[in-house]
Amino acid sequence: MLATSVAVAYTVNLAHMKKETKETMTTMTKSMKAQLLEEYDILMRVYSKKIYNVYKENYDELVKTYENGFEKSEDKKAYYKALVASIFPPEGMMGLSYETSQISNEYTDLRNTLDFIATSEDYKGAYVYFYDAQNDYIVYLVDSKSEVSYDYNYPGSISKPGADTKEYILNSYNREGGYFEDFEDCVAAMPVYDDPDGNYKIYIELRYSYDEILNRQADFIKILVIASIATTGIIAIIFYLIINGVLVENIRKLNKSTQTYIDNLKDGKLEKISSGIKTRDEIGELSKQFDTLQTKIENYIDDLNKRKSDEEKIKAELDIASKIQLETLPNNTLDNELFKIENFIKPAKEVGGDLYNYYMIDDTHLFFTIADVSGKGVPAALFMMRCSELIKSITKHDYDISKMAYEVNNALCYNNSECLFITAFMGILDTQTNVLTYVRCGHEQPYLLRDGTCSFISPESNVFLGAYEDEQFIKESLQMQKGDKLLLYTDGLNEGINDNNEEFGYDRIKEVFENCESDVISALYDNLMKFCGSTPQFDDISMLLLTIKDDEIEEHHLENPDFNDIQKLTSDILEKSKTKEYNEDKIGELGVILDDILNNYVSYAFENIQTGYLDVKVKYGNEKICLDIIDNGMLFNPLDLSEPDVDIPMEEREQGGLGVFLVKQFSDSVSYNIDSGKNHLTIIKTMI
Amino acid sequence: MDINITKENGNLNVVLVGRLDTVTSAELTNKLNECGYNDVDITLDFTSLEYISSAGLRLILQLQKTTKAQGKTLTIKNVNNVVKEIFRVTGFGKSLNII
Repeated sequence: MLATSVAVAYTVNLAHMKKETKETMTTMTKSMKAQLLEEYDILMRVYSKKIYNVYKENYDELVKTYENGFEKSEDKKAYYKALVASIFPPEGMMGLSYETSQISNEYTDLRNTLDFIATSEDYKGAYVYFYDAQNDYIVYLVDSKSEVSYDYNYPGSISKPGADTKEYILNSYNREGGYFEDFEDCVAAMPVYDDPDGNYKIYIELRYSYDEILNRQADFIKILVIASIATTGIIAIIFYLIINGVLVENIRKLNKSTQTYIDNLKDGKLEKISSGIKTRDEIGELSKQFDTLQTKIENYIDDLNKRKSDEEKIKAELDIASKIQLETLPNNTLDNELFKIENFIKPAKEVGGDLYNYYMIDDTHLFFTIADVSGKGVPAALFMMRCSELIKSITKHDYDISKMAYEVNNALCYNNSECLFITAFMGILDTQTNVLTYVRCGHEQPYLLRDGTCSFISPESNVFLGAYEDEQFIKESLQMQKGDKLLLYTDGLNEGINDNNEEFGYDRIKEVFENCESDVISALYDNLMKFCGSTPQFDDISMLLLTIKDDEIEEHHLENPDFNDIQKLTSDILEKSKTKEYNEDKIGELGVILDDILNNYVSYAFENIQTGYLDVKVKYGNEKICLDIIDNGMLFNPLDLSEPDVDIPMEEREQGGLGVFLVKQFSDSVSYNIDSGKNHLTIIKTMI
Repeated sequence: MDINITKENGNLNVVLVGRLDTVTSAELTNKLNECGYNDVDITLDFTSLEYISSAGLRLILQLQKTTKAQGKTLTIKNVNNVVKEIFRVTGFGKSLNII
C-alpha cells in the first residue's frame, strides 16, 4: 500500500511540479520579453545585428568549427572571444563609443539577470538567441551560464536546434510564447524581436532540466517514504497496543476461563466460570456463548445423571426379577442309584425366556421338561413364569404326557393376545423299566449318547405350545438303557454365534458330548464360550442332562494270589456291596461264593504256572451282581465236580465238594467258558 | 476275625466275630489246637458271624465228629439267616445242635 501511495504521490507531484514549472516558465518568458524590449533595446536592435553580421561573414568557418568541435574549452573561449572582439572590445578601454559601451553594459546586465533567473529557479539555462531558419542554426546572443564550461554558449556560437525546438521555432504557434518538452528538458520559449530586415527572429528561452524535476521528485519521495513508513510504524504500534491491550487481553481472559472450566471438568467438578468480558465485539459474543455452553453442559449432565439413576433402578429391579425367575426352577441335581438329572441355565439378559423342570411324580416316575419362550427380555420372562407354573400345576395329576401337553397348551392359549408361544420337550421316565415317554413340541431334538455314539431322538415333532387350542399332541417312547445319557437344550446352545457369524451347531455339540470324559454340561458351556469369543450371548442357554446310571464295574487283577489276597478281595467286594442297596443276607451269601470259588484258584490253578493271575470283574447292578472270573491257570471247570450228597448225615460225609455246591446254591447262575485258552467263570446273583 | 475262647465248667465257649472263611478257619483251628478241645462241650457263638464258607464247614464237621466221638456236644448259637441257610442246603442243619 505504501508503494502504491508513493507511486501515486510521485506521479501527482510530478504532474503538479511540471505544471507549476510550466506556468512559472511561461510567465517568466512573458515578463522577460517585455523586459527585453523595454530595457534591452540596444541589445535587441544593434547587438543582434552585429552578431548576425559576424555570423554571416564567418559562416563557413563557424560551421566547420562547430562540426569539428574544440579540443579544449580554452580554445573554444579564445576562438569566440576573437570572433566577437569587435563587438566587445577589451574592458576598461576609454573612448568607447556610446553604442559599444551601451551594448557592453546591457549585455552584462542581461547576462546577470539571466544568471539570476536561472540560478534562482534552478533552470538549466536562460538563453537569448536568434534562429537562422534558412540554414537551421541557432546563434546565441546572451547566455545565462556564466561558468566556464563547455556548455556555455558564447555570443556568436551556433548550434543546431533540437527537433522540438525547431518545430516550435518554425511554427511559432503562439507569439505570446509557449511551452514544450524537449526530450530531457522543459522549455519555455518566446519570440521577442523580429529583425526588420527579416533575417532572423530573436527568442528568449528558459530551459528546465528534467533531471532537476526528478531530483526534486526524488527528494520529495524520500521525504514521503520516510513519512509514510514513520506513519505506518506509528499506526502499527498504536494498533498493536490497542489490539494487545483490548482484544488480546479479552482473548486471554476467555482462554483462561475456558481452561479453568475444562480443568475443573477433568477433576469432576462442574463449576460455572465467567470470563468477565463485557465488550460487544466478537470476543464478547464468544464469551457469552461460552457461558451458554456451560449452562447447557450442566443441564446435560443433570439429565444424564438422572437417566443413569433411572437405568440403575431398572437394572436393580431386573436383577431381582431374574432371581425370582430362577427360583421357580429346580436348582438341585436329582441323583440316585438309578439316574441323575443335571441342569444348566444362563439367561442372555437379566431376565430370560428359557425354563426347565423335573421332579419325581411318584417313586418310580420322573417328570422332566425343557422349554423356550418365543422372544427375550421382560415379555418372554413373564410368559416363562406363567408357563413354568402351569406346567408344574398341571402335570402333577397324570402320567400321560400327551394329555399333559394338551392341558398345558390350552391353558397357554387362553388369554394370550400377544400370541406368545413356547417350544417344549416334556418326558416321563419310568425308573424301573427305563422307558421314556415324551412329547416334542417344536423344540430342539434331544441328543442320546449310547455306547459312545450320539444321535438325535424324536424325528417327528408336534406344534409348539400356546399356539392352537385343542391341539392333540402325539407322544413317543424310547427304551433307555443303563449308561445312556440324554441331552436336552435350548437353541441358545446350537445357535450361539461367534465373531464370524458362524453358529456353534449340532456337530460341535455331538463332538463334545461323545468325547467328554466327565462333566458334559460344563464341557459344552466352556466350548460354547470359547467358540463365541467376544461376541456377546444373545439368547438364553439352557441344558438338561439325564443319565441312566450304569452298573458299577470293578476289575481286580491278582497275580499269584494267596489266601490272604483272596480274603482281602472278598472283603473289598463285600464292603462295596454294603454301599449298594443290597439285601444283607445276600451279601453274606456273596461272601460265601467268593470265598469258596476264589480260594480254589489259589489251591489248584497255578501249580504249574510261573505267573499265574486271576482277573475278577464285578458288575454291581441295581439288583444283581455279576462276577466274571478269568484265570490263566490250569484249565478246569469247577462245575464238573460232583455234588455232595447232602442227605448223608454230615458226620458220614466225605470232605470237599461243598464249596462249589454252595456257590451254585447261592447263585442265580454259574457258567463256564474257555476264552482264548483261559478259564472264564461267570456267576450271577440277585442281591435284593 | 475275632476269636474269643473261654473255658468254663468243661465247656469251651468260642465267640466269633466276623467271618469263618478259608483264612479264618485256619486261625480258629490253630487257636483251638492251642487251648485244646478234647473232652469238652463246645459252644460256637455265631451271634456276630456274618457267614461261613466251606472251609468253615469243614472245621465244624471236624468238631462235630470229635465231640460226638468223645460223647460231648457241639452247640452252635445264634446263627443268622445266611448261616442258617448254609446249614440247611448242605444238610448240616439236620445233625447240628443249633440254638
